[in-house]
Amino acid sequence: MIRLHNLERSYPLGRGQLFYVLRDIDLDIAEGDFVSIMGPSGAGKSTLLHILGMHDHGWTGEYFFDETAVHHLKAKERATLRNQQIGFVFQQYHLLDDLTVYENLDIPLSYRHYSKSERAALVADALDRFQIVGKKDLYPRQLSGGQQQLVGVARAIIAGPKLLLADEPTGNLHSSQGEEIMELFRRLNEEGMTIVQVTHSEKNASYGKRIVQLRDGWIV
Amino acid sequence: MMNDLKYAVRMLIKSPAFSLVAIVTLALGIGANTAIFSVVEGTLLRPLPFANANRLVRLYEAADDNGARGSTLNLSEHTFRQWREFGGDIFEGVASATGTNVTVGAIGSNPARSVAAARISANFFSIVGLPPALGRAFTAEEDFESGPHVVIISDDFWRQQLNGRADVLGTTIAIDGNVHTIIGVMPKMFRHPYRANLWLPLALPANSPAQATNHYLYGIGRLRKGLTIARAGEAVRRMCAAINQAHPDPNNAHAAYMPPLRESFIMDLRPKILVIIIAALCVLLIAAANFAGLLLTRVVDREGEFSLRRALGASWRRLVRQQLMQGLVLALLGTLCGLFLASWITPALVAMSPEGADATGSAMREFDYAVRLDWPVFGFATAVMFLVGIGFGFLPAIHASRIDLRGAMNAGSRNATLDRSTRRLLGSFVIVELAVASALLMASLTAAQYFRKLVNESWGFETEHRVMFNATFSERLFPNASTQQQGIERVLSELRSIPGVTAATASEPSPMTAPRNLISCNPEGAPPPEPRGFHLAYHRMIPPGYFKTVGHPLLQGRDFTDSDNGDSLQVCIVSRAFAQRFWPGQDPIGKRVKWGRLDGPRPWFTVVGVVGDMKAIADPRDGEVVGMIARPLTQVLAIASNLVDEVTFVLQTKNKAVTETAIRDALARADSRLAAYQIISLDQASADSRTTERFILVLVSLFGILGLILAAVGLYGLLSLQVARREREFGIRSALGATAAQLIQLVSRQGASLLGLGFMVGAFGTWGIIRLVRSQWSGLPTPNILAWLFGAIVLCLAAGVACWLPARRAGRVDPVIALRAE
Repeated sequence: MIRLHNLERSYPLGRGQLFYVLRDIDLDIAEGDFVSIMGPSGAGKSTLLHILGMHDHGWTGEYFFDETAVHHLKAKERATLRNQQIGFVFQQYHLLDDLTVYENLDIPLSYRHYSKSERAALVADALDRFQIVGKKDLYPRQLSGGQQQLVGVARAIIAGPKLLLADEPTGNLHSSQGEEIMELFRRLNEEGMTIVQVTHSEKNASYGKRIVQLRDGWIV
Repeated sequence: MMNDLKYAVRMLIKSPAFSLVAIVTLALGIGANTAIFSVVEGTLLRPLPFANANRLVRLYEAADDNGARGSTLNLSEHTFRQWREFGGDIFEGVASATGTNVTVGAIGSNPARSVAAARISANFFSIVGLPPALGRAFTAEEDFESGPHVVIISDDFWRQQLNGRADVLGTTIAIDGNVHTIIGVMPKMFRHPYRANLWLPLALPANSPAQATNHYLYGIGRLRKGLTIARAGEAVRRMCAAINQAHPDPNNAHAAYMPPLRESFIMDLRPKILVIIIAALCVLLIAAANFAGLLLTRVVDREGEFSLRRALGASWRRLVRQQLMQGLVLALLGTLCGLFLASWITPALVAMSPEGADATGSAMREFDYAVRLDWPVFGFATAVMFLVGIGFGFLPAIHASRIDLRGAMNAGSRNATLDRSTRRLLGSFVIVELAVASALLMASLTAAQYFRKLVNESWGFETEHRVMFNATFSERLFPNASTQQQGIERVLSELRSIPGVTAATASEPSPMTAPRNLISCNPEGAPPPEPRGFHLAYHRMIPPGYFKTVGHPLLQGRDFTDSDNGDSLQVCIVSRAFAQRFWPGQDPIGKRVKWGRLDGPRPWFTVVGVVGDMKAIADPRDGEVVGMIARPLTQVLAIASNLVDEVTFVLQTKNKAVTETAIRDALARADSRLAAYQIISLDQASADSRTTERFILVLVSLFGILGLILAAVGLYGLLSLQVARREREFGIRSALGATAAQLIQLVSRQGASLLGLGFMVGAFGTWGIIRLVRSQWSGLPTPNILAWLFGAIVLCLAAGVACWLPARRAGRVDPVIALRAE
């Protein structure tokens, strides 16, 4: 599903020098895989995740998503591909403060030009599936961390992506809430969703099918 | 307090861009208002430079018993004499004056020139209570037709024409060919009435029945001590009734309309100044709202610092004080820059301001009314400074003191979206700015439409390829009708010989200043209006061929001919509106018009022609004017040669321009005692004819543009802040699939909703302002749908520009950076 070849990401340091965040990354991720990316701080985990998520465009090398050569796509085409295929879960949940749970779930659909009725049906389905119907009119600040991340996951998958990217999804949660989220990921993976997560936690990493270790921008 | 001051100064230096924008915003608002206030102070607030000026009244005579303004006229000689003789119980004295232009002969190297002069009754200066600075006023003996030739000169004339020579008293100058002895010099800046540079005795003719009932005298009275205007009005009514009983005459006045003298100078000016003041206040309000918005954004930016201060023990009072101090320092700097700006704008404002042609219209320039930046103006600027600095700095200061301690100190909240109350407060500032800007915009668009309509309205005759100038044919130079007639014909003959001139004609008054010359009349078959007893029409005194030369179409009948002279039937030509009003469906040719009251001694005129209507610049004080009556100059001169004083000559030219020198040379060849003045093309005169409206239009438009820019800056500032604060949100939205266009749309939608609300509030505001101004100025037009539409479009464009930059920034938010900032 995903094939990275000789992918590099660097930042200029001045005087023509570059600081490499990622070096010579070769990585294959099959459909239905559940990959955990691990490594110390500054290893390039989040950068790799944002490249996979097509947020970051300043890299070199080859990136194939299915058979599409992402490295040849323009920014707009990447955005379209991302909207169709990828969902995100963030450590800080990143729910929109002024929107209710319902509205937060509705947001990705509104960006994908779903009709109003389709959106209503999908949001209702997600609320039911994640058992948060009773919270639909609450604002994020009225929810616990675990509940917020639950909404975050629901929001990430509501538009039916093939790939779910998660950046430290349980980083801000206590252990039982974290376990709930990881169980949810496992279920989603079992249902066929490809998942790539960045984590520091060995335990969380064990929910995945394989672990990719990064150190100083290199896969080790 | 000193610490707060030091801190405030340090903060301003630390954020130069913020300080600069705040200071410039305030400087524009305060500068514009200070300049306007200096004009208002000079015209409306500064007292007259006369002793006991509160007892001075302007005298109008009224044809009805109520003395209401609508039916009032200037004094006639008849009334002036009666009131002077019988009004001793009411007035300490009654004085009168009339304006004229005289030709002053060459003085040293200064050539002969036309000079504005006032003929005044001998007691004029003693009644107003301002004696000459040098020499003396006129004596009663000098105020006779055959009295000695004496003149009082203005300080300007003394300094500029006579080099301020110390022995000026007793020296002589030639005025209209006669040697006059200078007996006095008026104080500096005094030019009242008629912006005079010379004052001559009024010297009313002893017996001139035709002129005696002409209402041409500017009258002033000084009330006796302890008498109020109301009681004086009552006493004048009783006096008029007694006069009417003892000497019945239809020309007797029935009552007086007596506004305080100062009031009479400004009453027509006030509504127009009110419009300008409102426009200036609108700009101030926008600037102040902008300023408050800027301060608030600073508070929002420094939330963390404020909560830290609170945590360290600062009381809310201390935080408010610190914020207010910052506001005040900015206001002080803004005010200083504003004063500098005002000192720059004010002279331009005065130069642009219209000069009236009558005794009071130019009153703001006749006394020591030089508009200047003096203590009252500084006082005003200081008051505005405190109002803005403290008043508009207060809300942000209060906001600073109420910042949630826990929330603001939480690093996570630094990039959170603005909280609802801050957003609402900032939004309300922007709505106020947009509302006021849209009201201002409406006003300037309406003024532009009104002005365009006035300018585009046809004069009824051609203005292209025509030049006009004035020359004074005073009785002193031309003592009788035949010499005046010959003088005018000689001039016309010489003018026709100028190369490039295809035709020349004359008119009294100028074709463009109809309201200065009205005739009382009663068309045959029409009942006279009560209680006045006559209609008023614009009056033209012209030679044969006038209408052809100025391109005024003759619709029916014939033009005047040389045979229409003093010995033939008295004839007239009327305008179409006049004929249609009084003889609808009838042939007006052969109908008659009575000059003055039906029972008066004046002759009937027979209508020989009908011409097209002409644009009339009505003076609201005249009441309804029913059209135009033109009369042959020869016949007018035969009845009363002193009715013709200032003659306007009109030249029709080919494409080639006729030079001033050619005109002056032709005039000198015709009569070396004559001087040409106000040489101007009819096109230019047409453009100049609406100086007051243009003045208002220019100012209101400038304020409109300024307001629009300030409001756009305010909107830009708010949206920029919002975008900066919502960077994380935009990052999330982008990560969730929002395209740049969708993010731009999001910000723009917010700008649009503010704009919509602002425009709606502005519409109500405009309606309120128009109601307020219309109570003072009934002629003020209301904005029409085009003005609304155009205003909305202009506002949308300005708001669009203001929205675009922050919106584009939102569209370019990099989700990686935005989210990593967490």
